Amino acid sequence: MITQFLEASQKKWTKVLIGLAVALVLCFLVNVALGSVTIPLSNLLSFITSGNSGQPSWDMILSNFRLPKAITAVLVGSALGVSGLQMQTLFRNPLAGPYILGISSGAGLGVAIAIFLGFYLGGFLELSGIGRSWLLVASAGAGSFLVLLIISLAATRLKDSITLLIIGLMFGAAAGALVSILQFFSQAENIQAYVIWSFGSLGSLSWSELYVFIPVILIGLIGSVLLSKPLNTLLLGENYAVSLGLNIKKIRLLIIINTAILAGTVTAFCGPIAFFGVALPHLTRMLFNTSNHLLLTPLIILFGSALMLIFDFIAQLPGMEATLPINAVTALFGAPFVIYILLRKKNLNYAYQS
Amino acid sequence: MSLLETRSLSIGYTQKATSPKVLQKDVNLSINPGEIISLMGQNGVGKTTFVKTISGLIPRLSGEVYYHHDPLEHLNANELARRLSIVLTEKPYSHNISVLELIAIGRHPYSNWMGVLSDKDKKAIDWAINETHINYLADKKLYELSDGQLQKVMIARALAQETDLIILDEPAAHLDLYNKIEVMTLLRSIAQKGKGILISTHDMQISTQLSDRLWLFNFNEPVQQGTPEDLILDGTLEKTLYLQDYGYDMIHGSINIGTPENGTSVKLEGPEAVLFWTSQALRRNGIKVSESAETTVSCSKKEWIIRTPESSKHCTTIGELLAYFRQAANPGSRL
Amino acid sequence: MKRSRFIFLAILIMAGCTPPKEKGRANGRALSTQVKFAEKFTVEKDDIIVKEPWPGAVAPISYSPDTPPQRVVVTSTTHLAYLEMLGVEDRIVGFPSTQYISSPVIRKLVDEGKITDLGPDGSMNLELLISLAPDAVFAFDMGSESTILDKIEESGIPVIYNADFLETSSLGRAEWLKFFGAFFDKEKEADSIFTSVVQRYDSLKTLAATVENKPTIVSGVMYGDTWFLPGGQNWAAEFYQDAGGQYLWENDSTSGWLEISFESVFEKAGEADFWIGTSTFNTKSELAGQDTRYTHFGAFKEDRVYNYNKRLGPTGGYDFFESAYTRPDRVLADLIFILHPELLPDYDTYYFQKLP
Repeated sequence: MITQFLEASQKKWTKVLIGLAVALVLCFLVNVALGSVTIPLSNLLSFITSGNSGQPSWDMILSNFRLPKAITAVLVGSALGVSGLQMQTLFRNPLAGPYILGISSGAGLGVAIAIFLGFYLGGFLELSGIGRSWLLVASAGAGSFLVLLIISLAATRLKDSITLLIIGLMFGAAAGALVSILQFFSQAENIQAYVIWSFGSLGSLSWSELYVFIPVILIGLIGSVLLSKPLNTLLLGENYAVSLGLNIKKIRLLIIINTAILAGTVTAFCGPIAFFGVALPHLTRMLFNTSNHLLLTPLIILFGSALMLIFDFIAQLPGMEATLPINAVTALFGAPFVIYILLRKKNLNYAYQS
Repeated sequence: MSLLETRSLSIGYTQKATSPKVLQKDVNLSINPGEIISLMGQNGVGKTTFVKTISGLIPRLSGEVYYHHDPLEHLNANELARRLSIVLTEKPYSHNISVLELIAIGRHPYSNWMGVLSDKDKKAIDWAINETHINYLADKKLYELSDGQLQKVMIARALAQETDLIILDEPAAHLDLYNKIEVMTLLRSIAQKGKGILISTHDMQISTQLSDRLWLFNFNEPVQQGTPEDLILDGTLEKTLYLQDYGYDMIHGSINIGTPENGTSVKLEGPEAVLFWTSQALRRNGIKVSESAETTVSCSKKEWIIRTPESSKHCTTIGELLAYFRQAANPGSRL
Repeated sequence: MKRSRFIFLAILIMAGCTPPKEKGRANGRALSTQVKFAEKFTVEKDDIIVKEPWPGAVAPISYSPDTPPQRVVVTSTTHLAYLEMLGVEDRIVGFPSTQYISSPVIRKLVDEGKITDLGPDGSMNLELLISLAPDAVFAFDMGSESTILDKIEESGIPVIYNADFLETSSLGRAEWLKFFGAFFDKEKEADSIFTSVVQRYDSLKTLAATVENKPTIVSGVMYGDTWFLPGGQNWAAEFYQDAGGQYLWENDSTSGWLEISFESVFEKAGEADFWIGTSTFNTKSELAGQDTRYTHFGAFKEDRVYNYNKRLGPTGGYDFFESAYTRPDRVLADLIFILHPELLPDYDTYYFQKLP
């Protein structure tokens, strides 16, 4: 009879997930269809059916700009949401997010070094034929990998997750300080380039980068689905998790690596996109009223993707030439949304226990 | 065949520079199916360390721990999780999951990597919920539960883990009397199904009334064990808990708050229940209850008659009775 | 009553609240400079008045130069170019971030130790600056430099605010040469140099005005996913127009920079004839390496991408950003040659070159 409950809820959640998937596809189509340049619906349809919109510049915009950007938005939205969720559960801290362990600070440091010392690397780059975009990706990746390495070493030594959190925060602060020192001694143009990188962007990835970005993020997302079950045991607290046979050190390391892959890759390719990864898990938990990771992980992947597509859509200001930085949009539109949900739900329990 | 057995077990903490700090040594204990055992002792004596050691969370200093006949070191984390489940005083971190989801997490050692529940898992969950009588809670979120309900849910979760041995830490903490009785009844019925239950507690009712045996941890002395009644009668419990000097009434299992006697003494007579509560009230007020006293109080259910050599007085409540003696002790003050 | 009013006034002056600020009123030299193009400064009798010393400033500042300064600290590379044109570069004793100077003449002074490096831009080493005992500091304030400049003034060293970067016309900006001329008592020299710059600029502009076909121009590069390009009223837009080109954003009303999505730029300028100004990208392969979508531009495919990187200093500084503001005629000639090579048959570009 209890099984009936389980089956009923299974049916209900399957419906919710299918609904979300449909919404995601719609968001994707709207995102691709609308942008600064207005492309008539008939041309769009002919592009979808025959790959030819009737105007070469529109073909180019659709296939080389809007499509990559929409795909990037989907992957970034799900990756940041899922890694934020993992950090919040692992550290039992509602303020944790994908960058809590200093991953974006590490990436930022790598990028700062690349940009500010870029002059010395110029010659090397021309010799090796590496493009500048890959240099940024490589340096951001190296920065976050370095942070990951240090945090992982600490994780294998430490029993206490909260201490790890503090180490992450300290590391982030130190990396931030190094970046400011580098900025202090740098030219205005380079500082501007760094500042613009730190705004984050979804549209800077072309297909050549997507060929790397897509598989890496997919691996991370699969990892996060696999980690849902051990994450659920952590909902009871670490002591209970251990009593259920969880190897806490191993799982903690896997979660950290998984988050670092997701958040590190996103930061490497798109810059640090703030707020989203912290807010999305809360938003999803509140809207769907569950903390069960077996449900939350797929919910966040679908909902996060759709939301990021919507945010990107807002950032493009359809019909206008100017664009807003994605970072500004996520926080500007995300924060009031979270506050609204909090006030509407009036669920004080939620405020203290996620 | 015992569910858990320790042989010459030494527990404590290893320290880097100095020799290990030994809390208990040469511990030889065992739990049999159907037994409820309370682990008692002063704070710091090593109860938690013992539980952590037998759960494999911290290394033992020396000796052996067996589950059935398997040494602890031969069991991996998952196998151990199928032998031993725990119920702690700490509440789950997240309250935004349903009772059913929480109990399903108890199937972690058995379910597959996606957490998909097999029919066997579902049966175990079903059984755990039935056993704890929480069917009406199954669809509720944890934040909707009272403390007593949550405790029963946590016990159900441990049951769903299908282990022979369940360790509980202060299972009645924060519970009102009604819920405490419910939990105690529940634990007894679980034990009757052949499970071993080890309770780490300071609660006298749980240890002396619920438990089959007590394990008493002392500082610098060997572990004592036996049925609660034996340990009470030979004074071991009193000594272990450092209660000799505080007038703990081992016979009634009640505490005698040390009010100095004020010189008044009375002789009590009447039915047992009334006698018990009347004497507690008199003693709390410094009045000695003695067979040889000149003043007699005859109690019945609704009436207390005070007879002194000079006079007699009727009281209808214990409150009136106490007021009389207070006035007698201080004649200057008025009623 | 009178006395208290005087005290009130004195407090106001001390607090720096009375517009306009007056400095060195005592015995100013009579000045002859006439300002024609510049909008942010003017000269009246013996006063030089900076009308908008920093962006959004409401009160002008007036200076009354007396004896020409012998030891000066300047804070912008554009100041260096003005001083060099007037032949007073040897009076510079300090400069922040000397490593980015590209002028060979001034580099030599740095290498000889005659110009002291004052540390990073925007956070100069104050003690070092004071120890140089300059007669004046020529400074600019884009909004964040004021605290350090106030400190310099407190230490008794006069700070002269330059607002050349706020000029919207290229000739107006170049005319700030006269501002420096007035301080260094080189008014005649400044006037004659500037007049010849104006004459050359005007004749080049007249020449380019004859062309009938005006090639379309796109400018700037993407940072992240946003294309940064000069607004329609920007310094650069005016050049493109005067050089006989059609800047695709010339109808825009912004004097600063536009931040536009890639697709808008591509829609409008995908087939632009020329792409001029590619920031720090010096080869087409570097551009393609940053973003392959650059290669879809017509100007890229047809090899018509130009940048202002022909004259790089030995340490990687762009001379363009140092001296081009003082020589708009050179910039215009370069652009005319790029857009209409037939108009300047024997010319070779000064700042610009085609991206290999």
